Amino acid sequence: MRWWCAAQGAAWSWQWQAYPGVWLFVGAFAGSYWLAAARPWYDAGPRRLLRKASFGLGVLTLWIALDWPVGALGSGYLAWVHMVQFLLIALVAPPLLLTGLPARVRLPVRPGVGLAVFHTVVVATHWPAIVDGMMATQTGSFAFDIVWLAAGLAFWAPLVRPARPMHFGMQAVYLLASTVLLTLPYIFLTFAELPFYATYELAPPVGPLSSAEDQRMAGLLMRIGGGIVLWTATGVCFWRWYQTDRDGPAGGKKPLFSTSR
Amino acid sequence: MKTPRQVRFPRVMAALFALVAAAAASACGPASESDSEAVGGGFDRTEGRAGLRGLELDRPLPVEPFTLTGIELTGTEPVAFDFPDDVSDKLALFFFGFTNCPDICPVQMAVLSQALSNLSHAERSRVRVVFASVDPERDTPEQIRQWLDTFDRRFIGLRDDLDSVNAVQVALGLPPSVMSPGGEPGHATPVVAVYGDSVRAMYPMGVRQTDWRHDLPIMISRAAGDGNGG
Repeated sequence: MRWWCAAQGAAWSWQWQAYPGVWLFVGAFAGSYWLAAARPWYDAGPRRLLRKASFGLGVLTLWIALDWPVGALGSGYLAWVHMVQFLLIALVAPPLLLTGLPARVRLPVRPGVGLAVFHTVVVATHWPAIVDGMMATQTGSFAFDIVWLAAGLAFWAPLVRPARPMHFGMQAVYLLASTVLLTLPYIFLTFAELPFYATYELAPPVGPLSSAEDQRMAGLLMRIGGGIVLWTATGVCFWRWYQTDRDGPAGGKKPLFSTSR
Repeated sequence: MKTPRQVRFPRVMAALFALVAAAAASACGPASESDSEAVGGGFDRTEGRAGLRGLELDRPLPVEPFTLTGIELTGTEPVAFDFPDDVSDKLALFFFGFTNCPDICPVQMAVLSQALSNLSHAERSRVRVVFASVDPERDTPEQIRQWLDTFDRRFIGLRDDLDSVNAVQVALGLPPSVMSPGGEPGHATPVVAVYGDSVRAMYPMGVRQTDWRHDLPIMISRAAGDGNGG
């Protein structure tokens, strides 16, 4: 039995496969939160149910991205599913998990560090030699997923759980800079003449897409999916800026997604 | 009012994370030897003696003339395929497989068809891709034609008795196909490049479009010339 999804080289089958490592990992996340949240001192603040729901959604997102079939298809068969995994693990799950932490929790990640870490990881984990080298083993695939999650947490921490909140204007700049930086891998993936990744080019076929179309689809997903997440966050940022100015003395320094009053 | 205690990561969960990390580091390195092969890790991209990335033969392997039953390109009627007459002055790429093959056959054909699509019209017209079924009992002419058409309508399909197909495989330097106890044919995976009536190079599983793109124009020009290049 395999413990983590990785490229196998075998023909794809829709027969369900168990990946106990994924269950252990996701269970550790959910279990640690559940154990902590059961204690009265952990989070007694208002809107704690909302935070719990957010964390639960984050864990669910991780589980979907890592387990069969998404994890298995993405690690060894289809580049566009691999991109869906990236979006879920690095861009969707982290803000949900961070929002689920008690309102008093603050993470000391500087915006410049968050931005640099995230985009370095994006480039590195889409580099063909690295992808092909890592995705062939369960260890490598596991490392990919962990690095994506860690980079996602580093990226979102300055927005969602900042030690020193940025001004909303700076938050918008932070997010817009990311949409621009994500354009680079998008261009390479979408407009390349030949497939970058041996993993997906030489994978047994699943569905009607050629390897070139599969890669193009991955690039478009990065652009569109990543764009939707980042532009939505930017929209929230501007809305919160407006709300803050409307309701109280101007200052404009609050976390992007606040579940505290 | 109580001051909230510092949030600590429960020790049990820390242990669980450590367990997952330890499993990652020790138990399950490469899933199997074949995994790295499956993603092309096993193919050496160093250019050979004559500048090809495929596995070049030290000496061209002459192929005696042969005839197999083929399937017409626009239908399923049987037509004769004569070597070398049907591929003279052209680069012929032979592949032996079967249409129910779940992994290697469709990958080899897909990579090849996509690489061919990058050629100019003039270059493309000088290449013949020939697929011969090693499972003639299950592969009907309709199935073969339909399967090949998903890659390229110009691919030539051959369906003859297995002994005749095996004889051609041996003539091209490949081992003959055998039926496994489970009824699945075992077969050689390389695409065989033939020009000038001789086998010149082999392209095993793991060869990528970028390799074909490098080698095809070289072999096409040699095939169109005196055919002795390499």
